[in-house]
Amino acid sequence: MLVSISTSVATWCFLMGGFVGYYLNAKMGIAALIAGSMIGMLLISLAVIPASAKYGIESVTSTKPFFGNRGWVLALILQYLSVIGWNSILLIFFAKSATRMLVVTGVIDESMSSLAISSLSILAVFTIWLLLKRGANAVKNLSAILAILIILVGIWIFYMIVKNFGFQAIIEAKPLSPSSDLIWNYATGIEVGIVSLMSWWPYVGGIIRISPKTSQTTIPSMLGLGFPVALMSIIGLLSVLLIGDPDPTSWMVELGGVMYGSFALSFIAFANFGSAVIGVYISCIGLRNLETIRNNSWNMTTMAALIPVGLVAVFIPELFFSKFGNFLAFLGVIFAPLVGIQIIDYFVFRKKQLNIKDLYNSSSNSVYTFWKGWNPASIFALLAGFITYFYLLNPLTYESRFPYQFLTATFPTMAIGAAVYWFITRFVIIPLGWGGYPKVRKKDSH
Amino acid sequence: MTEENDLPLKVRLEAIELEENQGGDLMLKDYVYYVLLGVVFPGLLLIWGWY
Repeated sequence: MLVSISTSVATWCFLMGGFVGYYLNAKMGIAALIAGSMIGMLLISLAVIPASAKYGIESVTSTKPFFGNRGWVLALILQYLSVIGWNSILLIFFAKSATRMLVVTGVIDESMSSLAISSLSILAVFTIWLLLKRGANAVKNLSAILAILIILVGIWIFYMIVKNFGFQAIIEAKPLSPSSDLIWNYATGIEVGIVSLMSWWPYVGGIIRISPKTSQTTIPSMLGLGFPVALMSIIGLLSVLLIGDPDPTSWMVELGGVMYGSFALSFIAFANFGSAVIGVYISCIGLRNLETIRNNSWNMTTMAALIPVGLVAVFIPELFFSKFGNFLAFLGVIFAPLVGIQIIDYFVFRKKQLNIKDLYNSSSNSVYTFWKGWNPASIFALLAGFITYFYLLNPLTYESRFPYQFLTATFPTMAIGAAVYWFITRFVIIPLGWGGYPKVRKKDSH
Repeated sequence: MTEENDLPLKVRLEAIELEENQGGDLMLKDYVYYVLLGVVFPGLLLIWGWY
């Protein structure tokens, strides 16, 4: 639970909530964010947890039964890109928050901010590398400390908002630029919650796999990963509604004074740092699926995960920030069909049973070989999902088509991906004898 | 890395193949929690938010 909370609470929550503040007021925004996050977490949990917790495998390995014993590299690429993206954002925010704290406390002059941000990013990368030398134990110990701190300071930030603005102002605050269609605004709020949680897909397997019992993971995933994200995103929502800026680091010093402001900035910095440590760890264990990486030392693996993050955080932070919306949309497009495919494959076709040895067998005698190591059903299902998502909601312009306002984009994308996968697997893959599926029992003919 | 993870892959795979070393499947109560937290709770919230 503590690892989950420490991972989930970070600056991305504020960005999520801030985005919703453009379309919905406080009441509708809170409802949409919490509901969307919990629904998203449910979908991710059903996709990843049953196999990951049962067999102790992380998210990338859990895709081998439906991507194939070579096709899983697709999942690795997606995981690597998404975790690099999130970690870069976290490190940039970490460095900005820490720099601002140093400026407001008078430790450094404002003119040194750029240099401080770059230096702190490098320092953070190096510290994460040192911490992860100890593998999962470092993550567990660090998370326990950070989670408690994060919860306390999160409550304190809420208190500061209510104290300074009052409930009435919060209730009456208007969204910044809503559409004229209230249903569309509500659907978009829910969609942001669901899509943001979809990006937990790479993280969940890595965290859950060390749990001794599958049934011990239900509450921690829903209330440790899903719910805290929703609660913290409310800070971003209220910030946009009341001040017009989703990031509390920009106004906590003005509202709370230097002491309280520094406290809040420390919270942001620590929260981001904790999430980044776990994110890099998740990326590392995904990379260890590659034989080349596995044959090298753990230190080399952590470097492979950290170097791109460090380069982005130091050299192109502003460019990366300007493309953040596109990055988030990319995650939704990718992970929604993947989640649908995974649920159908594990529950419907695999009957909750995997061949654990063949998960690590890359030769052609593995049951997960399909066609030359690739499963055509999952490729077509992914493509069908992409097309569905782009049809319903253009992730670059946010232009939408019916029935987006009633169903969001993620639900239909997931459903179409799952349906295409089911159809091809049932009528092509299983009859060909690919994939090691249990034989479909034919009805007795009389 | 822990000592446990330093064991050869073959040994670890043989161990995890035994059902007693696996984490088991989700139980009925887990599905109930999922429905309550992932369907009923969000549904009620959305109704509250709309009205």
